[in-house]
Amino acid sequence: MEPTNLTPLPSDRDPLEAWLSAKAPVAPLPDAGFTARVLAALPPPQSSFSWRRLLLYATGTLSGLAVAWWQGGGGPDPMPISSWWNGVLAQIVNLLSFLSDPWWSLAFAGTIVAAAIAFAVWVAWAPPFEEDS
Amino acid sequence: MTPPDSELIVRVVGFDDRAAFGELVTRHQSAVRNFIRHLTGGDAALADDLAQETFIQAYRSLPHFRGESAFPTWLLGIAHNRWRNARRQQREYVPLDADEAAHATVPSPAPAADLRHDLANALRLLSPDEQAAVHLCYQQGLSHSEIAAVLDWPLGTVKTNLARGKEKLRQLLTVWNPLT
Repeated sequence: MEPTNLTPLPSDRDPLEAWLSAKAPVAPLPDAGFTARVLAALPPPQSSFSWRRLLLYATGTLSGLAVAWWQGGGGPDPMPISSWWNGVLAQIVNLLSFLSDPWWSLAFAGTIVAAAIAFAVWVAWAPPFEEDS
Repeated sequence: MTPPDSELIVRVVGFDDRAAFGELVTRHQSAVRNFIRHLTGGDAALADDLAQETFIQAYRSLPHFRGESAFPTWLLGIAHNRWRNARRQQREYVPLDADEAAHATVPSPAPAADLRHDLANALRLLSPDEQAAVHLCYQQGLSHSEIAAVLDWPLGTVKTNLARGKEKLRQLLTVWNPLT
């Protein structure tokens, strides 16, 4: 028996292609709270605090202090903390003595400003470190 | 004016803007959920669970999205992976070989029968890969190369699955086809 609802098809086209195409597109599904459920299931926002970053900064700071201590007359022999600190200050003053030249001073200030800008941009745009978990 | 997907993606990646991500979900939830519903044989609850996992994975992977394919195509690729992993865990699917498919019982066109209904039944008798290819091609309107990107198949595999799927459909719907 001939189906009653078979749509006449052009003879030069594959009927199956036409049926499948006629079936498209699928009806859009209403959201019905789906987006809210997805947003609720997202991982919590990452805080800016990161153990890895803290470790990085602490290691750098301690390494710098150790070098300053060694250069300031420290070394294997233990020395009083005041003497060690004086040594650190002396090294800093010695390192910054070149700033008496105004051109060096200007170049140094420019470098500091550029580094500060670069750091600010990095903090604003870099994706946060993933927490070790 | 509605911002394009690319602008919303920048806001999500750069500022963790969850409202922007919510807009992306709202825009694309229908296509993703429909696709997974099709893959799961109409299991709406399972499909919505997998769709939710798809969007959460998309949120995590968004910083790595390079725009090499369209965002909806990328999403459908993640959805297909989630479904494939779920299917691997369930191991419930028993593939229907070509002979079985050819002799499967799609209701013959009784007066009350409807071509659309029979076509839907016939589509369910295809293998999952054939179903996915046919769905993406005809229901989602993707090109062969986009289907290849979504399913992570070579282009030839896409064409093969489409051809096989359509051949099975022709056999299953013989009674409807005036040319056979």
